[in-house]
Amino acid sequence: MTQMTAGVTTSVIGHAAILLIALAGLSAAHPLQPEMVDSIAVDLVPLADVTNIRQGTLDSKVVKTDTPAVAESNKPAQLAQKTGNTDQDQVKPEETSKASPAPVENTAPKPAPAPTPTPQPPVEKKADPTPPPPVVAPQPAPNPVVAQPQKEVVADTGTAPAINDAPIPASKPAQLQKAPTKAPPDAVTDVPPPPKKTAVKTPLPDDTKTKPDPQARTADKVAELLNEMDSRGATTGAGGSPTLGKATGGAATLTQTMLDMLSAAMRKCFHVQQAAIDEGATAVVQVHLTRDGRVDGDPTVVSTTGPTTADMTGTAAVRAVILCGQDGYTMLPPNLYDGDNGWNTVQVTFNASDAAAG
Amino acid sequence: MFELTRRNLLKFGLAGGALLAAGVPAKALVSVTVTGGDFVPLPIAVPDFASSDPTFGKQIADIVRANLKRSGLFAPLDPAAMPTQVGDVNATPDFNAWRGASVDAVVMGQVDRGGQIQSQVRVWDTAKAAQVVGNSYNSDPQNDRRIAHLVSDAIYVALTGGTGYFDSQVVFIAESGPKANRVKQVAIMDQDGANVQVLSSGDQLKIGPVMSLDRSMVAYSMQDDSGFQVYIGQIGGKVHKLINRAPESNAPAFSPNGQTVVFSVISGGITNLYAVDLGGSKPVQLTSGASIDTEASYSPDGSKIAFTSDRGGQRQIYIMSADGGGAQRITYGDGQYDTPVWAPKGDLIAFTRNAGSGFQIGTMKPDGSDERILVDGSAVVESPSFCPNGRVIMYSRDPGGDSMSSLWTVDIWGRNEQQVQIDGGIGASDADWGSLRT
Repeated sequence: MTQMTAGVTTSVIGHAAILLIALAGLSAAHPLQPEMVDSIAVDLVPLADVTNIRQGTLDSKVVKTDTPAVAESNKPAQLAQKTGNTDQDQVKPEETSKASPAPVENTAPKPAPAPTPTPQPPVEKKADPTPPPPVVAPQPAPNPVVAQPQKEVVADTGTAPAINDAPIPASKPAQLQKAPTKAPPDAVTDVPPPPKKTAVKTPLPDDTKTKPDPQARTADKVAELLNEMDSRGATTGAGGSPTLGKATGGAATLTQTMLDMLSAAMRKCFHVQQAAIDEGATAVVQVHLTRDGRVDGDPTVVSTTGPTTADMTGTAAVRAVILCGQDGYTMLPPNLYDGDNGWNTVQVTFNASDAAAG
Repeated sequence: MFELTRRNLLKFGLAGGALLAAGVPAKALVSVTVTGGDFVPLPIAVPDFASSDPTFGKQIADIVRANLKRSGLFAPLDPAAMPTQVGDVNATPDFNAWRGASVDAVVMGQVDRGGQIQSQVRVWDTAKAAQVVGNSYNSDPQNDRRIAHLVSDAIYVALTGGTGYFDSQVVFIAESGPKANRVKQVAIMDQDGANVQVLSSGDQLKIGPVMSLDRSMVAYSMQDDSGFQVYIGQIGGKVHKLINRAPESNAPAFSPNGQTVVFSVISGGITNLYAVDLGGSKPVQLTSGASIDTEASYSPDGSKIAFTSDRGGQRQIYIMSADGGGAQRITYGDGQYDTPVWAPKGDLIAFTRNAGSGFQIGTMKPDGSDERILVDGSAVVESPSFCPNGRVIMYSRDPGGDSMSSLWTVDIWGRNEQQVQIDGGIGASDADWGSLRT
């Protein structure tokens, strides 16, 4: 018992000692500092702000504008006039001893410099970019106000479903292209328009200085006129006047291309007897489609014509719609399914006679 | 209290008008047009007919399949490839299985022999998964092939429109023996070449048989002591001479009402057309002139006659009124034209043309326009005849030498040219396709 007591005591003392040391020692440890992580600020930006495609507001007035007719004009075609001097050979540039100066890259002129308190030695001024020699036309780099072509996109894609029964003509890209040329570069009316030219390209030949004056004046006048045309009400970015069209507007009807694709898909399965082709039999079929393009229920034959093959053509038409629709008419866009003008119901007119064969 | 004043009426009238005007907004349906169809023989499956005698059921289905295939408008599925071998008229078919076998139509049939041969048939459309037609048919027990032809016609009508032609017979000249001593007999057969029955003896040479529209009478030219003469009689009965005192006569043709026969009279190198009433009156001369006018054919309405004449120098086709007079030439192409036959619907005239390089069979519209050559053969091809619905033409082909003549068919679009397989492999020529037997 005494031996056990000695051992127990030693053990207890040992454990206590360790505990005490630990308690005392650990309390002096450094507290654990959590790492501070830099957070990234995230803004949720609606697509509209990025692309600036903007739908019209409710109750906006529908304004009919003439789309420029590319090909349909009553004016007789005229031979293009020669421009420039094409009768005589151009003067061959001479070799001069003076080397032509290298093109200078101009940076945007600094905004009005903050008045520096200490008078700078005049030398500093000379360090400013030297004014470019007169030979090279000054091309101020596009002003910050002007140099954002993407903002100049005409916001007219929301136009006119209300007046549009016919499929929208595919002239949108042309309209979009036109926009940049119309945006007024605000200050500089003398300089010929395109601000899109990058400074890496060789600068324009010295048109402004060497053009004969009457032409320059006409060009200026034309530029002024263009700049003064009334805006079509497109908005750029936030603000501006309301755009045309309904707020719920989108392309209201299937484009002609999609209708052609649907027609081609059904034609593949349209098998008729030769007698029907000879007679030019026709059949009109109405079919309901589900949202994934499959045939819903039974297509119905609305009417048929043809002396002896009318019924057979109607059957062949229904068969064509069903067989080619087994995997669904997937070329039809889901967003145009609904509504009175949507493709939930399609009326197909089948004509057995081959127009091409005549 | 509603007063019938003008003001009130105006109010309500305007309101009603406004309602009408507001009405239902017009729907603009998405509208598509598909132009041009492809001709593809219709894939169809005809399983063996159910029957108390399975062999009979299979035989009938075989005849139906052969008919449909021969028409060129159908592509019957090989029986071995069918999901179901024997049809069941009373059950709805498994459309998915049939669609998997790529058929657009399925025919389920049942046939039985009793007092009459009786058959029930249902035609199903596999794409629509619905019945197209369901009907029952009877035929006399002597000819058990006939029920198959009736069923074939029903399928044909249901799936292609118009009328059929399988249940019809053809009178023709059956040829046998060596070339030097050819025996020619008038015979009648089913349009598929089966069921051949000889109508005359083989003693004298016979050519150009024709059948009346009601299929009761036959007429042909037979060579007797005085040369060729027209003989006429009931089918299956005795024939007698049509005209007693003609120098020589041939090329008879019946009018659509069966009352009149037009024929040619040959006298001293000149041939003219005569018509005689079968009631027994005197023959009437239809053409005059010092030329050869022969091979007359009535239009389906009986008002006109098409015939061959060489009054213009070469043999050409003319059309005149059925009373004679007013003959107009309609063929102006290269070569000589003869054997005109009018289509049953009156929309086409078939002819033989000899353009020097060979013989051809063609069709044209009755005014001579839209000439189409259907058969261009190195052998002699001649004597076209239309089937009852005017879509198929049967004609003779003589390869020359010692070979037998044979009968061939082609459809009016020039497709599907094939030989008529006649029982016994006998030679055949000069066919005249009769009307539908029903």
